[in-house]
Amino acid sequence: MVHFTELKGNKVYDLKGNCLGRLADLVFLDGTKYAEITHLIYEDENKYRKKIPWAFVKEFMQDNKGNKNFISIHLNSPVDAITQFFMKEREVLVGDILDKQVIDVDGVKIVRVNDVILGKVDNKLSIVAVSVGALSLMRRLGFGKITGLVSSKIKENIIPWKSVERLEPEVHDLHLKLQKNKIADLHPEDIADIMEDLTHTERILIFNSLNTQKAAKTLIKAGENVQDSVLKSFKIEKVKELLENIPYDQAADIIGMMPKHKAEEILKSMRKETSAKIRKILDYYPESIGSIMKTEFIAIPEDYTSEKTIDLLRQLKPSSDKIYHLYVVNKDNHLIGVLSIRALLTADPKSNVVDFMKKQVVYARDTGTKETAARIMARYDLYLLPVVDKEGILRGIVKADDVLEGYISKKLKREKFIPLKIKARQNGNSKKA
Amino acid sequence: METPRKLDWKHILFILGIIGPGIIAAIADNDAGGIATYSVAGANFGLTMLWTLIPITILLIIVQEMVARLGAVTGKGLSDLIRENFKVKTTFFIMIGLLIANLSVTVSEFAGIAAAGELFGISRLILIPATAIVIWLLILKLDYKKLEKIFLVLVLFYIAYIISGFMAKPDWGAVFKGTISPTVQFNKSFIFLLIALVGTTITPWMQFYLQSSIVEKGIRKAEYKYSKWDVIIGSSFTNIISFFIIITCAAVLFSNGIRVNDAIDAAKALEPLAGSYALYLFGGGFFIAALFGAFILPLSTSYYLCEAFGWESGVNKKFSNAKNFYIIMLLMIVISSAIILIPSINLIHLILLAQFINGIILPVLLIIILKLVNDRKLMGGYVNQGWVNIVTWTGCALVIIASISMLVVTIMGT
Repeated sequence: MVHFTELKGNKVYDLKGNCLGRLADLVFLDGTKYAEITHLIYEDENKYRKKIPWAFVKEFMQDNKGNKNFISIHLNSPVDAITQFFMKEREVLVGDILDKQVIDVDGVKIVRVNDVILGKVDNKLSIVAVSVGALSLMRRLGFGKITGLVSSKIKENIIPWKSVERLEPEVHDLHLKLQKNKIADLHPEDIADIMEDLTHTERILIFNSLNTQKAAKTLIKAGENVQDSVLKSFKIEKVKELLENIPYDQAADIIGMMPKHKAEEILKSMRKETSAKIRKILDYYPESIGSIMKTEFIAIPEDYTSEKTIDLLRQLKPSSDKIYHLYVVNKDNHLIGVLSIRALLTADPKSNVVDFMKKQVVYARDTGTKETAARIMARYDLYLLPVVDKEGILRGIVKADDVLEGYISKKLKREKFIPLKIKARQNGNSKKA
Repeated sequence: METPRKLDWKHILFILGIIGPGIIAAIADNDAGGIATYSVAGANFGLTMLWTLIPITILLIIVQEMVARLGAVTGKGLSDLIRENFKVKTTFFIMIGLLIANLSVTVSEFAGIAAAGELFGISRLILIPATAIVIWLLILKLDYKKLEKIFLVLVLFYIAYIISGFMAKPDWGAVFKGTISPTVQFNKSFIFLLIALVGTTITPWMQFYLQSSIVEKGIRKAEYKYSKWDVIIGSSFTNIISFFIIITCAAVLFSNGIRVNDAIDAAKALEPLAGSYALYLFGGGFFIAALFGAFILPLSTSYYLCEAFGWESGVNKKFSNAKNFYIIMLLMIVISSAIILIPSINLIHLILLAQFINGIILPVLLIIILKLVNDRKLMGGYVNQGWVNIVTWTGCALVIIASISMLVVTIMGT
């Protein structure tokens, strides 16, 4: 194992012992677990940068004293037998990661790379980890000797390459997707959290790398700064796509944050029925139940049998939170009863829903306040609450977590809870070291 | 419809939201040390130093504008950019220097708080611990947006100086003449004060502060035009405050032959001559100024260090997630307030040390800023162009000359 900063600047010799120049950088090919080094770049005495394939490297040699600061790099051919390449613009260099910020995907945070650790994997030199702790910083400042004395006690703070997400190289091309997308496995809340610490360009880069569903969820969970970043820079088309992939109430929330003209433009570009539903939510007073209710819900017609209802559920495959309670409506869409999933499954398949539904339904009015909804839910131990308008027509459902949202400060919501994963990683590290 | 009306409000708030970093950075610069310097300038040299405020304002605008532009275009803080574009050793040198200098400045802010408190008969044994705790709690409990609003409210207190300037009834004709006709006295104390005026107005830490608050606000290229005005208004406003401090001290103290060494002396001397209002306005303004500095310095210093070394930072993070950030901040507050509580401590060496280190860092920092702002890879079309480049290099050269002279003067021992 060798640190990139110890390798950099050392002399490169060809087979005949001619000094070609000093090592300037390394080119790597990114992979999910490791990143293989493909070329080395050296600077000759005229300060020209030349690139040669890594396959020409025979060995590194430490000088007699075993001083790590003098590692010479020896090639396996004479200089005239080595194919040299020009630098391509898109290449990813180790020097591009050094001193830059990367995402520690497992720790869900942004860290700064103090050193890059190279090691042999399947006999190929690869990036195996990055070093982010104080030890590596001390070493680079030239306090290596001091750290040598104490380093047995202090653990080297390294992040394995498989948990590292790069930010820099492709930043200039925002449409380029990340090759590997380690960050996409995180929860939207955690991605949103990371976003807070990034620059505008980096936020957009990450957003573009997520699938629409995840991007939309992240956007909802993100702080105002991040939402602002994204909404301002994305083209209408992209924002529209995002909004059509999330529940109407959340789409309405996001549209509500946009400048008026842009909101109008987006609503116009959407499908009529979608935009009509969003507009309806936007019309509600911001603190009202109507503004937070879900308008996608399952209403069972009163003439359905238990069997038919179960068939309907099979077809719709609703998400688990919508299945807790099913609401029964008459032909005018008035709310007339509620079904528990238990009642539905235990009832005779031929029996009509009206016969086993609960007729005393606890509900909330769409114009009521969030607090009313919270009080009703607390009193009756409900997770879901049906919402009706003044005529008693079922308009939506409201979920406990949406009500709760208003009662928890932003600050508390940003607290991270990442217990087990991190521990597992640290154990992995100590084994390697 | 409720929503559109709300959106209009948001739009206004949005523009107001962009205005702020420049004003706060510039005003925060009129801290305990700054006000002391202006008071001394007014009391000891009358209106003769008034003209220097115009070139100083221009220099301040030149430097701040570049920093604001760096923040808006790159979206990164200054310590971020230094770490990524210069060597680790350079970063380390600047950061350690900044830490020591800012710690000394924080001490002088707490000293200012103590002195101002004693002016109103409050013992420092009560005031200093109380202030330290309040600062710490506010930092812990509030998010950055709320803190910034508090800062903007504190800015309003500086108007006290403008009021006292008018109440001092200066000879406005003489004030006008002093403002437009440059006069230089070739003696040591005049030259020293002249350099000190530049040094106290253009400080390393405010460059870091301005850039990171521009970034924190999410201001970008497209909105940069507003930020430019923010910087211009802020820089002008801060020097208008300085202007009124000088004319108050000149009108009341200089004309009566009273010479002072610091702001508290000035406030005390003002009382018998101009009435107790002067004591309250001047002393109160000084208290707020010192408090402002004591608030902003630990917080911002900790941000830059964490940014440069890649530690988690931010007042919205939990202590366990951002340990280094909170520890640096806490240590700065605790150390500074503890030093002030040591009986019969002489702060003059500490303040000289702060000036000395700032004098070393500032030239390096200005060259780094110029290099960064002219880096095409980083700034694209936003690099300095044509005459702007000449103006900025000249401006920075002047500041560098001033801060090097300051170093020489400090070493020689005035």
